[in-house]
Amino acid sequence: MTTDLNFPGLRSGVELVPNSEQAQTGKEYTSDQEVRWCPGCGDYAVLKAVQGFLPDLGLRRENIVFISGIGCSSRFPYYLDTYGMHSIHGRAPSIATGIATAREDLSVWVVTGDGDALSIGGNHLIHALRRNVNMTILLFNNRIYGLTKGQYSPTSEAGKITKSTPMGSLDHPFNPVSLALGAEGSFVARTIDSDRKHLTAVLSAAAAHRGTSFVEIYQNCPIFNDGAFDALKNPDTKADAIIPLVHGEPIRFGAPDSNGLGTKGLIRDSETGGVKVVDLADLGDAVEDRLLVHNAYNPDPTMAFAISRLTDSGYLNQSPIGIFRQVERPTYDDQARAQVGEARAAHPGDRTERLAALIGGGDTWTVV
Amino acid sequence: MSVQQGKQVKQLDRVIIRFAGDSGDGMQLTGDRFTQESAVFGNDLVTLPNFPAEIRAPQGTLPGVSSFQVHFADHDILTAGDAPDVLVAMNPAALKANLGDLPKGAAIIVDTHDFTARNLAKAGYATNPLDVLGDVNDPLGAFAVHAVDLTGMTIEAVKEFGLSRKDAARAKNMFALGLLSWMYGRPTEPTVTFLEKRFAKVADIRDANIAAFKAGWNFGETTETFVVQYEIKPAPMAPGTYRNITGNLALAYGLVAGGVQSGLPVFLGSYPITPASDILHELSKHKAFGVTTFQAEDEIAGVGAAIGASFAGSLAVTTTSGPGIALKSEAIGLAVMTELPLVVVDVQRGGPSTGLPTKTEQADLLQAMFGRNGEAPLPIVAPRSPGDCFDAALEACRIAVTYRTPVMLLSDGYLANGSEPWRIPELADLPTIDPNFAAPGPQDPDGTTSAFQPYARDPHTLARPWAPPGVAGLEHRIGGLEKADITGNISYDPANHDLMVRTRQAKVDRIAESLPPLEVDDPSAEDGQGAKVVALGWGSTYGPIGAGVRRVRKAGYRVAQVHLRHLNPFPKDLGEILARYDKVLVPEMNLGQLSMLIRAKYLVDAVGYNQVRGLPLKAAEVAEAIGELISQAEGIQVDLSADATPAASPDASTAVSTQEALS
Ligand code: SF4
Repeated sequence: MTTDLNFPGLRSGVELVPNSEQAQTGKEYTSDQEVRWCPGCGDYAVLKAVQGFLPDLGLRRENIVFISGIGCSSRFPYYLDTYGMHSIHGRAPSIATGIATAREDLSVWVVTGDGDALSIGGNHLIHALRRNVNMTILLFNNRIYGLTKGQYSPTSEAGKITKSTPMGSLDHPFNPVSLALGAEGSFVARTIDSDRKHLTAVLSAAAAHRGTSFVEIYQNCPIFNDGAFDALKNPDTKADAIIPLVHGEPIRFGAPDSNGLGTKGLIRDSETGGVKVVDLADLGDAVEDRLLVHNAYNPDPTMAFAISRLTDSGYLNQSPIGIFRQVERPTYDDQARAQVGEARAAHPGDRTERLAALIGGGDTWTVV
Repeated sequence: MSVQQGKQVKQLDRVIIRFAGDSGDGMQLTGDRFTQESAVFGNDLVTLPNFPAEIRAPQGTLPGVSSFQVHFADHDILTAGDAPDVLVAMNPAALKANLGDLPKGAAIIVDTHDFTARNLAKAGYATNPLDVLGDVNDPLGAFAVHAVDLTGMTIEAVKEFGLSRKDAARAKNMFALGLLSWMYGRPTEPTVTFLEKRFAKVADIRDANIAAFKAGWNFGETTETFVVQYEIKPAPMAPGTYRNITGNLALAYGLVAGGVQSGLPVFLGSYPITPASDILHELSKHKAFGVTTFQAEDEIAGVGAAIGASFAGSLAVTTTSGPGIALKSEAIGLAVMTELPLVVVDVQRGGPSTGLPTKTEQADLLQAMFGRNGEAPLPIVAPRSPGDCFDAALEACRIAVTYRTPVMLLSDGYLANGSEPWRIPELADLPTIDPNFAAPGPQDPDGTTSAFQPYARDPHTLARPWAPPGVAGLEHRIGGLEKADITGNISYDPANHDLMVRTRQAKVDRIAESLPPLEVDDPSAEDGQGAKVVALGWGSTYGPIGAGVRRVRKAGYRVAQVHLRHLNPFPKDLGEILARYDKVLVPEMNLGQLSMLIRAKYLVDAVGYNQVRGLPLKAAEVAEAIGELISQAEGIQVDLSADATPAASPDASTAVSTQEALS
């Protein structure tokens, strides 16, 4: 048996969060705690970007909550002067679900890593995504276990030599974006720690999205996995390695042609049913017809998934970056609150009197 | 319906009936209806449902037998009874599975319809025991057997509704209920009303069930098979309005009341598990009270979401059974460390591992006490009876909110599904709970506000401030890493860790200051003779221990009874009370968990009486254990069959009156 669920309508991710009356600065968002990541860690850049971006969001600082699990990146909440909880390994999405469901007036953020979100906490991640709880999940993917000193992670390339895998790791890695799309994610994006502009743009879109926004951030760990994203960062290789996804734009990249446009692009692959990279020169006149135009709003996730498969799961020589998917879908927390609201409206009156009626219900008898 | 002339009416003070049949025979419903009728009639009562873990266990087999025992009386009783006076057996397996529990002389009403060769074989009977009734080798010779074709008569009675034979036969449980209702003079209106409501949408099924129920009644009244009707007068009870209630329902109501009494929204994060799921089901109906229920992806997410909701300012609850507690342990430790209010309900069942999901046990006490890494103390509260689950739940809410701590509420399968008459409390008598949220401090003259200190403490309760998001000036971060005293910043300082470990323990110990003195039930203390033995219990063993104590006293011996609601911290006067007695008996449905705590804490030589059969303790056996200790302590022979107080109340009386009346 099913029933039509009440949904209060589509809104921005922060619509019910009160706005700040005054302009804010990044400094206000900086806590008094000393930041303790290793020198050169990619986490610094993300922290700076977030501290720089939150004032632009214009929300009251006391209505922002950051929840993390365990891992290097999970120290994040301590460094932000908002409300926060550094919880236990893998469980941040479940704790954030409780917060987001209990309070419509909070902007809820989860900071997690590849081990935290995809290994020990995999179950909570996929269920948060399918429920579409209104929160933003920042997954810092450094493709290694940093805090426990360098074991391979669920996103490490197969064959990786680490302390726990002296003859090479045997696990096939997850592609976090493919996983999020498969788990019915309504907002799925990927960005890079070193590209502050792109990172900030993706964070803005993620915060504006109502539902679970999933953002994979490629984050360099110079201590245990240095250079994991070099191909995407090196000025000599990045044009060929990054496949930029911009809604409404043709997906082209690679060395620019005379018009400054990429000479490579994505087209459908009739053999695999997926998409493939081609030299646009090979398409001749068919470029216009065959070059894919990115549609993040496509209700069908098939194309987004196909694009996500272009991510090189070994040494990252190629990876699509940007917002893969951004679609509207009712959120768990809005609907849960709507059910409570509906029930309350149907039973007006004093709670105490209603409690007396509740416990005094059923077959009763009186002894005098 | 009135009692017909010509039938004999006998007075009884109490009766224990067990309805037993195949899982699909509707025995739980039958027992529940009989219970409701008895409750409305005004008897005191206690019930014991007992059913297989399988949803549809193989039909007609011994493992598939489901039963419901109800003990009702004209006086205050404490247990569902050790042995049934009357067994209603709907098939051969139900007869075989329950026969061992019957005392000689008990009555058996058996539905002959299902005594086919096939069903007899399934139950392991080589021959039909009903064929040799009255013979020299009658295996049922010790009992008063009424072999009746209940099913056949049901099919006949509902013919006019045109149901299939199978559907018609389904109403046999209502025929049996009608017969027993006649036999014990139960009011029938509540059941008729119930059936009208329950089957309101299927007229033929509704009419068939009502017809079968009435036919069962009329069968008793008009035929010669049953010559005696019994009367069990209403029990004198304290004035008030009563209802019959199960432990799970009372516990759910207690949580709703916790929300009302604290003014907080209630948030339940839970994952379905036997025997706790009914609390989730019940709370999901009470959204109008501001109750949000979240069915999580697993046990860990259930408690995780509850912790999040608590941080956000809700009265947070997670409900589960023992295996779920094991999964939630790390998160409960987080709640200990972050000092957030949280009620953790453990409806205990037989363990370890999956154990006996539908059976009762008390073996999670030490898990509740110690089952986390590090020094992670938390308060433990345990209800003593189904109705008491309401008060215990409210008490758990009070402690959680007042002391900013997770609280373990230890119910069990017996309390969860068992029921008793419950005096509905006056709301004015319920405690109010003050969330006492943190507020920003006063502004300094220079316009600044001193920094919020999330780990500063209330000097009386040692509770830290509860500061849900949304208040400017109280922004703070908490987490699982050790906290510096007062500031709550991360701290690895050795002396600080030592201080914080001790402070968390001291906070839990401090709860004892808020507890009332223990009630010591020791009538002999008055006359100065003083009992030498005290029976100390906790949780659902209250009934059997109390009934055992009554038996011992009835036989003319002295024993005191103390029952604990708070297992951590113990009430302040417990040590002093135990020291008054030479011998301390601790009956438990485990291998001695409270005994271990009592021995460790008070250096008392506690003696355990321990049973782990998945069933409540038997009052008679508890009485024997008490008698044994009295004999040692007082150097006398103890004979519990003696009756020193013939006129006194009689939970300890055997079922003789009933048995002879029925035979
Ligand atoms: S170990 Fe790696 S990820 Fe962790 S703080 Fe150091 S550099 Fe950053």
